[in-house]
Amino acid sequence: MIQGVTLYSFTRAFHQRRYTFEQLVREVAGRGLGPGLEIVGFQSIKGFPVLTDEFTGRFRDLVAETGLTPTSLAANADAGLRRDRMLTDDELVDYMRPQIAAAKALGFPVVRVQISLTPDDMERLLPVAEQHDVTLGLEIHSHQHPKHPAIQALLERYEKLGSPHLGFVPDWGASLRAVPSTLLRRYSELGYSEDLLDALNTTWLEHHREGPPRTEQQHGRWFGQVIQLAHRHGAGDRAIEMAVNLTGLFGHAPVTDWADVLPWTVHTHAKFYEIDADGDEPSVPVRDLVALWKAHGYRGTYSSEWEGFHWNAVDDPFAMVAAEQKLIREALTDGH
Amino acid sequence: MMPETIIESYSVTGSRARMSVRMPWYRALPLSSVADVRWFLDGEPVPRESITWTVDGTTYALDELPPKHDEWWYVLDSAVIEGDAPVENPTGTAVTIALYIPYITTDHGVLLIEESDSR
Repeated sequence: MIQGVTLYSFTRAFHQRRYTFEQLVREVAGRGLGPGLEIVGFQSIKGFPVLTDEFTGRFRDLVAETGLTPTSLAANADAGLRRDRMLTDDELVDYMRPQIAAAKALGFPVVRVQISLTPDDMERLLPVAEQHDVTLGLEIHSHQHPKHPAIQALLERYEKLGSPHLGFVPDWGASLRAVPSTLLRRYSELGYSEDLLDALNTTWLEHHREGPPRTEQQHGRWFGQVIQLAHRHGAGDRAIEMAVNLTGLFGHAPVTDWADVLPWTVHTHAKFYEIDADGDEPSVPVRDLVALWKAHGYRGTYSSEWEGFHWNAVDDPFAMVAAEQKLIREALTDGH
Repeated sequence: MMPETIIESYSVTGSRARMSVRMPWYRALPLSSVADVRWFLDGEPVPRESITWTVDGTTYALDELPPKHDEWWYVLDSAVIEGDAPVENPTGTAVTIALYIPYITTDHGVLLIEESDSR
């Protein structure tokens, strides 16, 4: 078991050109936020999934020099690439091939893949993963969750195929216990009414009581509900963002639901949004999640993923990641 | 995502307006993701048919972007939009960029986000 971080946590610093990719990697090593290093291919590498020999060599040298451990290369299953239609299964499988090859070339043992891939697609990609000796980890990200029919169908196929080259990447954003307070505060600063913020929070709590959505229609209904709510309160300019946040980022899965998929968990996105004065994460039940992971003998990486940057431009992302890593370490030693 | 980072700079020279914009998202997107640009100078719309989009040295009309699913807008690259200026010497500008997010689909279809910034 190791700890680490995804460079996605530092999106703002990278996007604003305050840190280059190489500087971010060095910063992670210098601040002791590794050893695990995860990157998003389409973010960190221009031209991805095509890699130049020069880039590959430079990256491998950087890893050797910093002593970091490449954990997961986050690939994207862009089924909605075209405007005239969705990609066919053949096209989507072909779209993933060079991304899987890129992971091997850069030394990443896990390729994070996404929910557009069906059980059949994963079975067809298995020989590609075997050829490159990498493991495909399908991310379980809100609004999906461990009990979602699409995830259960993948689990069934994994059990049938029984390959160590197939697995899951749980994202803790599927298991929130509260809407992050920093987001509500940000909306308040932007001038949105307390009535709207109360209504957003109340709506999320109603969804929480309903439980994680079992159908796409149920999620679609929730999404539309938040859009309408925002428009009713004069927040039409942020309606889509609010719906994405409330129904797409802040999931409702009970912690115990993850037990089904933990035997197949090959990497973990330790998603978090904020850390309070006591060092805890008020919106993500980090201690409970780590306790379950530990009880199931998880041996992979806890890859800290700070997504608070979406609305929080104030807090230092490196300090945020260090704080969550400390919380995880404490949770790991609880009971010993 | 990060809408306040969209507008880098803008200018009006004669009858043409120019603006440098950043992507309100975190990773490279295909040009087919750029669904729309709605641009205003002092509240007056820049005619949509006059707007061009330039990234990595290649210029397109907005309606030429949807079929370009094999060309990319890298996240660190600024895009330059130009169009017919509806006013001379404007004191402010506003823009909305609509982007399809190709890996997120919901019951409503491929996710289409709209992000706005103003100066």
